Amino acid sequence: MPTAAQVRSLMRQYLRLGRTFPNYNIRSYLDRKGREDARRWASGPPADAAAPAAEAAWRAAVDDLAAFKRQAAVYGMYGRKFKTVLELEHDAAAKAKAG
Amino acid sequence: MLRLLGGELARAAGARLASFPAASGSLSCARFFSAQPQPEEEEGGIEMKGIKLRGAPMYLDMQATTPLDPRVLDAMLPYMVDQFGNPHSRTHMYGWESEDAVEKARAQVASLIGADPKEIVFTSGATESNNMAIKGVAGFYKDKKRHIITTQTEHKCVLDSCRHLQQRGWDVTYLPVSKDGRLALSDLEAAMRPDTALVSVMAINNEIGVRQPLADIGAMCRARKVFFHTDAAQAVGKVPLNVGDAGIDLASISGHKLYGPKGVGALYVRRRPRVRLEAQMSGGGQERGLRSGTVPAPLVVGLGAACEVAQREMAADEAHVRRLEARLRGGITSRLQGVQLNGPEDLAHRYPGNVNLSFAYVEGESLIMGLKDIAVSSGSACTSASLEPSYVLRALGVEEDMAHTSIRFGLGRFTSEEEVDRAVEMTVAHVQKLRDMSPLWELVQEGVDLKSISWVQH
Repeated sequence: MPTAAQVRSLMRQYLRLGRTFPNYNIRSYLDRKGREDARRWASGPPADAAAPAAEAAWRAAVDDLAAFKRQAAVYGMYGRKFKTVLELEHDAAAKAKAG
Repeated sequence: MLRLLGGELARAAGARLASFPAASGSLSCARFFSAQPQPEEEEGGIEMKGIKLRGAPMYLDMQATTPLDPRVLDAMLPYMVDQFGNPHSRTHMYGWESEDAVEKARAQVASLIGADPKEIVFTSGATESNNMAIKGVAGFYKDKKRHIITTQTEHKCVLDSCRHLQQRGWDVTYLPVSKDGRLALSDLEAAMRPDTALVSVMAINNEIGVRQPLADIGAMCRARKVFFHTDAAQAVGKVPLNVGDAGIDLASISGHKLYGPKGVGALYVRRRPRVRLEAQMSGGGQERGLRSGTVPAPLVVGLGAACEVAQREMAADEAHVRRLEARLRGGITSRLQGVQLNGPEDLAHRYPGNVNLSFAYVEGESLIMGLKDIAVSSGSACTSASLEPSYVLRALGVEEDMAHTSIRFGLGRFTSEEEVDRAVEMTVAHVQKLRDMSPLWELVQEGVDLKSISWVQH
């Protein structure tokens, strides 16, 4: 079973990847997953009966993060070279704010 | 493209003009100018099919296909690199490791629908699965049975397989559906005959998202010893589906509708009581002789991984999609009048990730063409090239003008709230713009009931 510190660290990594992944939709998904999982684990790991399921969920969350990290490289190489409409709007808004 | 588009639109215009001669002038103007707003001059813009895009559109067409989940691609890549073996090679490591991977995937698919791995046959997709189920059952039981029951709103591949059998002497009953797309059990019961071999009813409709009462249908079929096939391409991985609880004998699954790869699917074939099929593909006898041809190990691994992820994420996905649906539908209907939801209002009977809306007093093609920053469809992708309104909407009794202006918004795991908000803004603004140009809308604003007008041909 993970410690509270391990849970915090994993969720922080999800949120960080949710800012850097090369694809807009997967960024938004990682951000959501990081927050939702953090809420789910916030109450601490469940005891007794639910423990095996919780253990499996934790392992899956760790494995998923590793897969997403590897795929960030794949998306970096093979992803679309131009941005989505929403990203362009974000850029324009940021530019307007800065200038 | 412009020429082609012009031609197509002109043809559509011609067809519509015959019915609306009084409004012809302004409507055709609206069609040509509103459909293509001034392209914005921006660096790095994209031009495709004669249409200038400022960036990649937001993808809201999850019923057509879903993006590959990165976890799925991650599982597939090893089998596209070193582990390329033929899963049917029995004499070396390359074959063994591929076979292990295929069998693991089979167990993952089976687990998602509550089946035994031995009951899963890998195919090239739901179209093949549907063909195999319908023609396969018909082929095996043709000496004793003569009749198949399906519905009018099935996917084309089910309807076409049934037509194929009709030409070979089978009777097929195409049951009508209610206004919200649901099949009435009394209709099904009345259609059953002693020589009925198969009932094929889809789990979730691809155009309007209606969920059919599978468990009730399954129980009815079981009681009469009729096989029950369901096209579950839009359901598996999105909503809980258990073949045991629902009394399903055959179920078609598609890889690319549940964040898996294209070109792979599966057919669930019940073993107890056993469903026998006539193979539709002859060859090396793979998949227990039901589907010859080398099993594409990387794709099958992807399908298995997609099922495994879907099983883990189903609750979170479902909650997310429900939130998005409320946001999208609430956002549009609170700001526009004359919007109609095609399919049931009640989410107990509709998959929330499918929101099919019709907009009154606008023209269909201009509506879709103007929304170039969102990737949506007017109905099924298979028929999106034709200007005919969808046969599914027609079967629901949706009126001609409303059937022409339907937009299907597809929401899923990777859709963000921000995308939905922007889609609402863009749709509302565009519909308002089209209506401002429409003489019909003007009449409606003046309180004229359009149905009371008799259009004169001259």
